[in-house]
Amino acid sequence: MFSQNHKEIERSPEQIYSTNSCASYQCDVSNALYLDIFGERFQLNVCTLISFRKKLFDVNLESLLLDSNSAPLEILNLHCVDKLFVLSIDEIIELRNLMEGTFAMLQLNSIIHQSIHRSTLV
Amino acid sequence: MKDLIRQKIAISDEIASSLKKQLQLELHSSNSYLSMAAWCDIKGYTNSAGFFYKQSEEEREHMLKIYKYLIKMGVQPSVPASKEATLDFDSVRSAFEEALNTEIAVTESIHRIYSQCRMANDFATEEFMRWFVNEQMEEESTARDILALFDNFGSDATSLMLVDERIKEITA
Repeated sequence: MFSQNHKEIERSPEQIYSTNSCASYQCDVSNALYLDIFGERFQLNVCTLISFRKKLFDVNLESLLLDSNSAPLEILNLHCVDKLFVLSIDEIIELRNLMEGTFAMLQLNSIIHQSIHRSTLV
Repeated sequence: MKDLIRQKIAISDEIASSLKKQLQLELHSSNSYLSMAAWCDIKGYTNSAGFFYKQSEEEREHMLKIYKYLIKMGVQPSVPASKEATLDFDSVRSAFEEALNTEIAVTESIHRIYSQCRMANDFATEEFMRWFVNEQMEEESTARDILALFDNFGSDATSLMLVDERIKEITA
């Protein structure tokens, strides 16, 4: 899934956060975000990342665990790449962890920009 | 590392989330008014129906205003789903009472967002919400004026038709 931006990613990917099998990156050249999810890489923008996080946290894990009539799996889509994920509970928990860590780091980066970079402009 | 989040999105997650809930409330209000309009139309209260149709359009415009603001600030809003509106009313007065209750609920929600903006130092959204604060004052005041007509004229059939005529003047 490296597609046409492969070279740019190679030149300027900065890891934002990682878990055991997933990671998030930001590329300052293409202004894009990347998710490495269980061996595949996806490029997405900020809005799509926020939307994906919401979908992950909207999943009702309790009902997945307790429902004996269906497999404990959830299907989630990622708009920008027309990708459907069939996720187990463990995978959902890991992706939630990835999202929490990623957004915490992005917000921390925002605070650093605000208090160090932007505040020195005046 | 660039501050991509701030470059793309100008409001916080919390404020965006509150505005998205407000979208839902405005849509619900719009649907409630539509339901009141249908009830009044069927019962022959033509001017009351006209008032409610107009209110329904206004509430939808409010929703669109917030929707477009979210997009302007870099947030991608989802199209809200709305709870089913009440279809039946005991009387035309009770429809107007329901309208006032809906407006009060919207006002309270707007005030919560306004207060949240102040706490978060989100001056842009606070300024944006100021229009809604003023609008809600007007909306509540109109609903109260109409309810006062029912108090003054009474509730027999002739009085209700007189009230319906006066509603045309209030909303003209």
